[in-house]
Amino acid sequence: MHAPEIFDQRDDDGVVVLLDENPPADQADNVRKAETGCPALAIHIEE
Amino acid sequence: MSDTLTGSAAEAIADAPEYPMGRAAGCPFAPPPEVMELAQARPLSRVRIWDGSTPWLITGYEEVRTLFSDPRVSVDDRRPGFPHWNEGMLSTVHKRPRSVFTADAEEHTRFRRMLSKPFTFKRVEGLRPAIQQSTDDAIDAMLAGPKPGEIVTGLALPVPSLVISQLLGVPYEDAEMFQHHANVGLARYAAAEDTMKGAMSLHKYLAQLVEAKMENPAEDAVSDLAERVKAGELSVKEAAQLGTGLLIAGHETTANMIGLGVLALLQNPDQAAVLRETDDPKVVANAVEELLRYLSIIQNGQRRVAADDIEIAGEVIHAGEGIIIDNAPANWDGKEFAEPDRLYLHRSGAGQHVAFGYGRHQCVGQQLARAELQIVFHTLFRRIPTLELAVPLDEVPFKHDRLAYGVYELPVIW
Repeated sequence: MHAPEIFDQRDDDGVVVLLDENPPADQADNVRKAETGCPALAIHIEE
Repeated sequence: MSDTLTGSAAEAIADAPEYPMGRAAGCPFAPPPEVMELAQARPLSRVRIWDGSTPWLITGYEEVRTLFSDPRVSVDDRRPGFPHWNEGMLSTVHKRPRSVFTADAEEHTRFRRMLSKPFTFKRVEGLRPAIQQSTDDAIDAMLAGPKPGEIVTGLALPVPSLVISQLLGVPYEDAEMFQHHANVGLARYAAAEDTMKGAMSLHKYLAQLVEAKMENPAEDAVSDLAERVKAGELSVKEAAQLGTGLLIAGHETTANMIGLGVLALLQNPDQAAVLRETDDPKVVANAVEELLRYLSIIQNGQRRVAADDIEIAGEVIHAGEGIIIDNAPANWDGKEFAEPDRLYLHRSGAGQHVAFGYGRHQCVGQQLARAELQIVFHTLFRRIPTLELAVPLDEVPFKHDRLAYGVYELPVIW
């Protein structure tokens, strides 16, 4: 998992759960990695 | 369709080469040279398949990703124009139950969510100790056994079949029978009858297991499916079908990736050394991504059909035209991966490969596959640093005739 402090996965069906809507700047790289790596293309970043 | 074909489009159809294409002797890891020639010329081309139809073959990395994530690209094999694998698949299309592989949109989401639970990051991480144990046991047995040893039956088949039987929740006392049936159809000279019998026995067994888990559920994939049956969302037969699907998709593919990956590493000793000499999980993880990219074991393309007109790379794929998305040339696209024909375990961006597909239909079990491959390759080369191929490369039998490419046998010494 690229950004475990920002995203989690729902135990029931694996759907992504957003933990922090406004992640801190030091997480930016990890969040971008999560966006490109997400198998379901479910993550969109607004900057 | 009212518009007439332009001259060049008609020519492309008339001249469409036969697909699938064969690999070159002596280059067992490379995609077929004719596929690479098409890919060099343009990112999508027309090819001719067994029934005489001329679907599009998608070979460019960017175009592969675009089409994999386009909702107008359908996996529904009942639609006219769908480029079936062979006559058998066409003739059974209305008999086969709908599944996660052949459903679009909402119906697909319903199936997909039922299968996702055992493959979440946390559940897969929890399986790592069991994968490590199975790997160590297999290597212990190989080291204690005769020389040369054999990687496919000694390591590549047993580790994923043990892991998948644990994931499904097959009880310990049934494990041996289960593995026998899971592996019998994968043998090189398996008779069609044995393959069929193996599949039927598994299906029957899984149906019984679903019923047993309805009574006594546990933390496993068959119990998850049994819960859906209890809730009236699935029949026992459908649940058994989904369980069989997990087994087949999660077992043979991983086994092939292990066998072929070990061979690729033995042929590139400087790269095998990278794995042997590291204890950094990031290096191991990147090595596995690069092996997945380099080998793209799913051969002969993912089959789709256009549900609407789609403009892409200066062409129009018309509604009803077949689409074959070939992951292997996309993973060897020089625009995305520098020196794509080189196995380089430290490659940056190796994880951008499309070996598991892309978009909503991409492999649901990819995290599990990654965990298994990371543990198996790293442990094997750490524990047997002197591992070598026991026969000349041209005597290794390759699976040119299967859905997933790999080796039938891999004799090794140490």
